[in-house]
Amino acid sequence: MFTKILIANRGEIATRIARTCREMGIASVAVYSEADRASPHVQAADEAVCIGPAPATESYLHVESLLAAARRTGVQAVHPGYGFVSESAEFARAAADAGLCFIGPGPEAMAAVGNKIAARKTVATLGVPVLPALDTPAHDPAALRAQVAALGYPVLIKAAAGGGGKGMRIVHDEAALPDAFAAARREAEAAFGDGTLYVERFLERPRHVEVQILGDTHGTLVELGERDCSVQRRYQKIVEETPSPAVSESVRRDMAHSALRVAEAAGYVNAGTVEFILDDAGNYYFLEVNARLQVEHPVTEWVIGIDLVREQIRIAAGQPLGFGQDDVQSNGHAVECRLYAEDAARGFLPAAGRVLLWQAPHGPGVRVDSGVEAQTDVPIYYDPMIAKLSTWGADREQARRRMAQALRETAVLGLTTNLAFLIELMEHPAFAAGETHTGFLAEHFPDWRPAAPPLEAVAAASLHPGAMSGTTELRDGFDGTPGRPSPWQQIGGWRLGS
Amino acid sequence: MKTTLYTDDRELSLEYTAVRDGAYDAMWNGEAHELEIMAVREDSLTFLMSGRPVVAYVAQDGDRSFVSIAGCSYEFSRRSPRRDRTRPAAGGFEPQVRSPMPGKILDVKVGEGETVADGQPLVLLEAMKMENALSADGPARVTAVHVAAGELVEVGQLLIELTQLTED
Repeated sequence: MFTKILIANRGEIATRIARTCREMGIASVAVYSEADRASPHVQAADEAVCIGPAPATESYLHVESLLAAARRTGVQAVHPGYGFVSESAEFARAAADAGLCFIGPGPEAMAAVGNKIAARKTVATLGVPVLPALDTPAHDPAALRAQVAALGYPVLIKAAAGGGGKGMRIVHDEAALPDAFAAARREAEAAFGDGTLYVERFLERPRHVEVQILGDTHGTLVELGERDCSVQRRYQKIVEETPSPAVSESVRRDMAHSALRVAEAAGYVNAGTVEFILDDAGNYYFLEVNARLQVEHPVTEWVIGIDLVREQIRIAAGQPLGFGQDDVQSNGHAVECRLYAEDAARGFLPAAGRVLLWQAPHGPGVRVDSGVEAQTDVPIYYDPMIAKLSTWGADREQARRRMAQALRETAVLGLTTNLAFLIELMEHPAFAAGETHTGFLAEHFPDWRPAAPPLEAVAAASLHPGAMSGTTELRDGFDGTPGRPSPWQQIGGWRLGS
Repeated sequence: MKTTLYTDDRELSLEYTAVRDGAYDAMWNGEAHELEIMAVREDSLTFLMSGRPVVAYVAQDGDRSFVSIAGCSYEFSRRSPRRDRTRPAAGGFEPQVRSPMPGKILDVKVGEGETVADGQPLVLLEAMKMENALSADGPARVTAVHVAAGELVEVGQLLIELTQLTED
């Protein structure tokens, strides 16, 4: 087993990985950019190394800096988390060349599944359903029109090299095709340095369902059930749950079987996710393989009862899983909400700023993976997700109600977040009924606005001594009215900071 | 007592009268509500509103107040976004003397507890190579002094707090 691991990431996932390292008796090394000096993930590790300036390309994506930090601290392995270098075959190879163990799938499996076209071709030969698609769209506009017409509208244009919604366009008719194609190519080139596109049939009201897999180096491969990640905005997930409220037992079995076949064919080792889309009739189609730990992995950990990061580290160290498919039992239901610094009333625009107050929820069946603390900044340079809340319940309704309650116990002050939006989402009758699909937010929250301040909020802002004095340093006699003691004085005369 | 707070698009006024220690009657949209303060902490306020417990998390950033109740957060300003931030309402007494611009405090001319006359200079501020005297806009007692000579201050920063004295 390793004695020291470098965590090539930031925020909540870096903290989460450091926790498991501590549990396993493995020392951990945090890396941080100059913008992240005060970030909680730095304090969660046993050592910390600065890897460069704030922009990710000069720090968290900078292969040479990451490897230099690994050399300097004498680690044996690197955990990439998700995002950043987690799906970089280049980094995986460079790490291997430097004698480091990359905690994830090997560079070969990553290269095979990382390119969507290659992955789809591999998968189609396995008898796993794939969506009708164009792998090599014609450059000639007339030929492209004919190809897409044959495929059937609406279609989805995607970047072959990436994900996260970049380079994606839905096209409903021929007139919109040329512009959408050009824009998608520009975005793909800017985001991934590769403008290769492909086009697939677009399903109306589809669900996004994915299967978690785990394979060791001794030939054991298991699936850990599915996650339904249908609630999305800007093609990015904000709510995930397991099991999927939409999947029947027989579809679940078939999907799991398909996922295992894909992983087997790719010689997949370590943790991965096989993504599918599901139509109204219960037909599912292979989308892609995510060769890394997923943001939403906590819901699987809740119901299966294992620590996925621990399994990743054990597998990378060459240990056998130690359990088989028959040992995997799912218990209850789990829901995750992603708390973002973003404005749900303005197109979910990312917001940056300083967190003035952070209050996490507690209670049975509540888990918080957070990347912030009070007085830390949410920098403009990175993904604005500040925390993940997940809840477990014996059934979906209990997990959902727990989540609504947990969100209500949470407080983030100082910058705009999607917290109030998530509460309304959790309490929406269509969500309660499990009627989710990827267009759910557009359908049910087309023009969401936050509620006007109620009396309670105005009263709190008026009566809290700090609010009146314009500082959180509390003083007697804040309202300055002679002969009438302030609420602060009446509490008993104790003072902060005196 | 009446407080007026502002959000981006509204003005919210709350009138409250103390009925006993820590308890207030608040008038809101023409209806009376009883507020009883249970606990005050640096970053929260707990009170009963007509018997129902409310926990409000509170934070400040200069002129802005942030409040979060049951997962919903609100941002308030004590000054109207439409009004000049540095001037009191016409004819009104401004109990909070704030810096109208970023600058350096040259001199603080009053101390806590002192009484001052209308127009009496309180603070000398150097900003943009100009000396500005910030004065009381009515007879008042100085209840707090938050700055000292030599300090650098931001726009909107609270410098001096006053209590208006009525001549009778």
